[in-house]
Amino acid sequence: MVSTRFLIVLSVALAVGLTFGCAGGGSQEGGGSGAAVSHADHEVAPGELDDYYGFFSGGHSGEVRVLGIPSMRVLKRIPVWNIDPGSGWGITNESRALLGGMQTGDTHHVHGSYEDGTYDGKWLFVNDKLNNRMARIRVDLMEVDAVVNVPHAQGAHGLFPQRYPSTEWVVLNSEFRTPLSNDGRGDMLDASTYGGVHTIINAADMEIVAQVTTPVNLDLAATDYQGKYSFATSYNSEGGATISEMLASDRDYLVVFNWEAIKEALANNNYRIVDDIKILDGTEGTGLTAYIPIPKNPHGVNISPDGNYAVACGKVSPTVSIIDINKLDDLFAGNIEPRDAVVGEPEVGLGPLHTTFDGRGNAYTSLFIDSQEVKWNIQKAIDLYSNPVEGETAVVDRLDIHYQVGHTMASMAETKEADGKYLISLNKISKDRFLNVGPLKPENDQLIDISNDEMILLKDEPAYIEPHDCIIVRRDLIEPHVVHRAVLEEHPLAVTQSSVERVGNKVTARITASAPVYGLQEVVVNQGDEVTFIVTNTDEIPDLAHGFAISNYNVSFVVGPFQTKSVTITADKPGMYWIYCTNFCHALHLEMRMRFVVNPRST
Amino acid sequence: MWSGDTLAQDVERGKAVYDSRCVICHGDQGDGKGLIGIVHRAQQNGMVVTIYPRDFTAGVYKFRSTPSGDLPTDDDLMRIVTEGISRSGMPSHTDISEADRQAVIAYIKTFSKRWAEEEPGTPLVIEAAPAAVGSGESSGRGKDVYATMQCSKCHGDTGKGDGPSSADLEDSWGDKILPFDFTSGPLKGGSTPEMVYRTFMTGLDGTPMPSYQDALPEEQARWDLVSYCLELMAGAPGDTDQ
Repeated sequence: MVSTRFLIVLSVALAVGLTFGCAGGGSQEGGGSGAAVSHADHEVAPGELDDYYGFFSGGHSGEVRVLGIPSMRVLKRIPVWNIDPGSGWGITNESRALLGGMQTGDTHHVHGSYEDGTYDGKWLFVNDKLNNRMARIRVDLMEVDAVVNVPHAQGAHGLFPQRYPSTEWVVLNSEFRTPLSNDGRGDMLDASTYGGVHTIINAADMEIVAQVTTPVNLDLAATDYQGKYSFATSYNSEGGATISEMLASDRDYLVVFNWEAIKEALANNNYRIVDDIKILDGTEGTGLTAYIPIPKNPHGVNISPDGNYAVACGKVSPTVSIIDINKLDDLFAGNIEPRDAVVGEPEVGLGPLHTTFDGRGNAYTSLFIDSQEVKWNIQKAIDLYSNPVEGETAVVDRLDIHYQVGHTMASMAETKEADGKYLISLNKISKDRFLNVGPLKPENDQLIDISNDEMILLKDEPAYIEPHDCIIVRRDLIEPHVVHRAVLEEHPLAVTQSSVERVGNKVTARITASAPVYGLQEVVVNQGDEVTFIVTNTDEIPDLAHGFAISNYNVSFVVGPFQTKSVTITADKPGMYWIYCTNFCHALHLEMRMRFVVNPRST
Repeated sequence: MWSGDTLAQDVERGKAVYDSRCVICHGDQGDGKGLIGIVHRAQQNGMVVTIYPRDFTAGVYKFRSTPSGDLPTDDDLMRIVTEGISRSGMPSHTDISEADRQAVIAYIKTFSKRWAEEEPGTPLVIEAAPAAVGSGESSGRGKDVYATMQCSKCHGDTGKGDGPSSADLEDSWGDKILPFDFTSGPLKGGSTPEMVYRTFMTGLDGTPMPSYQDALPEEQARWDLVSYCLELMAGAPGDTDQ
């Protein structure tokens, strides 16, 4: 007995030692306590609310997640390119109409709508890299309300809304070069005919304004703070179709799109129309674009909160390239050469992917290969570029993360109001950080305090596949816009009075849901009827959702307060089927049921 | 409406319907204290319900076509049983036969002596809404009527149901009751102009909502008030207050 207890104590001690050992090694340069302890200042106690909303893309889970920051509590999962029986997304008529039959997708980037360089709390936009679409999420409901399909694009990846004066346009890059009209004509294996498109989408009506074609691929996207330029990194300037071909050159591009020139070309009808889309030629020399050579297979491009610099990460090069946005007018005027716009190119470490900012002149770059966050000073990097000093570096601090960071984002960092409080490291690999749950492990989103000179790791948060990117938005910019219940009449079919109506073999059952009863106790139809159920939650309690599930008919959805959802089925199975409320709503929730009776087809 | 013999049969049949569909809220004594009525009063934390099932023993009804203080007509009762009351928990009963609905009405009347002692009131005649209803001009005048009639005391300056008296209102049974928030959408008594007009005229008996039949005799002022209330309802933004 004694020896067993001793062993347990020893193993616990070892485990604790190991934990602190890992975290203690956090800083290789510039000190940094790196202690993996929770700091009381950042605790969000039970019943308390977070200071920030975090909007996370969910990668190939197809969803968007809403977290509270700094607690890292997951507050909501917004289904986008998936089927979610929890809410009925992908099951209801309304959501199916938006999804158009494609219920898989890949959300990489979620960004908010802007007014004057900060979030206006109106919309979120999210891409679908898989099926080449963009969805708009209403912030008031935190649900998708519109989808636009993007033709001529594959790998619809980098997405960014206009930041100034407000979000009229959203740009979306196609990462994969393809034939423009990809209809099977021509030699489809001839990659020299492929190109990328920079798609401009009108945020309000969710229609495509135009597409600017480039011979190169277009990866991450950004917009400036003046409404003049948008940006795309390109890692395949070679026009290659294989990985070897794509990595041949030591420099690829930061592509700059000139909005004034684009608007002028549109006004002058200087475009062709392909598949009903206005196509603008964005090859070099057209005046619509500038191609700034930067090393090598670059990935992220992010704009400093003062609007002065675009920072592009070298990925295969250990450098980041700093482009002075104020020099772009001169570049487009032909007064300077493309490389003259590069004002800094510091070495930061291996595998730099994305950069974010604290609003105090520092940048934070994620290093995939080094598994680190590196903090560096922008002005110092610029100074050292024009005037190198032996032994000096712009790097201020480094923090080991766990492990293989992709995107990284600081609080409010994609606005002019970057506040330098928190940094999130969205790590692809969690390895030994959590209990083993089998071969498919969670990823690890780490919360880091950046309010001091040194970065301090605060928290590990396991995350299901695959939080790709995020934005961290001050609570006061979002919370006042979010409603507790929908506007009942907004849905044209909202039910305030339950009824059943038959026209030929089409039956419409309009049903209210108010705990613990549905507005009807039974609906009787004939086998073969096409039956539409329209359900409105008329409950007055602003936190009470009702489910509507039809046994054996593969129908399940949930209706929030004052919302209406519908579903249409063919009553192909005769019999009596209970319809029941799936979402616990009342002390008598289990009794909230009604009968769906399908009379057999007479023989 | 029905002869003596049929009535007795109806009451018996009505009890069966009542026990199948109604008793869980309205209770076997018809006093609104069925299990759900009890649960809703007891639940004072989290899911707080503020609308309770009707007590049939008092013979007092909110939604009628008859003047304030009068019993409703059979047609009134049939309408409510058939259509239900939106936003109240009272479901529709179009899924049972009209005979069953008639029977349950006969049974409901057995809970109050009033039905033996009084005749239902005469329905108020409500003409079709004048064309001006819903116009900005009518609504503008209606806003003044809203102020003069002191609607804002309960319903608030912006119609959100948050007037100075709103916190301490009780119904005739001593239950707390909230004034209607016009910005939240449809009315329980119906949202067509004629239905809103009817509610102004009949009042909602058993609640602090009085009849304005005498207080507001001018026909145009009544319709102007309807216009203003419809404007408040149409503007309905989502509700950000819990």
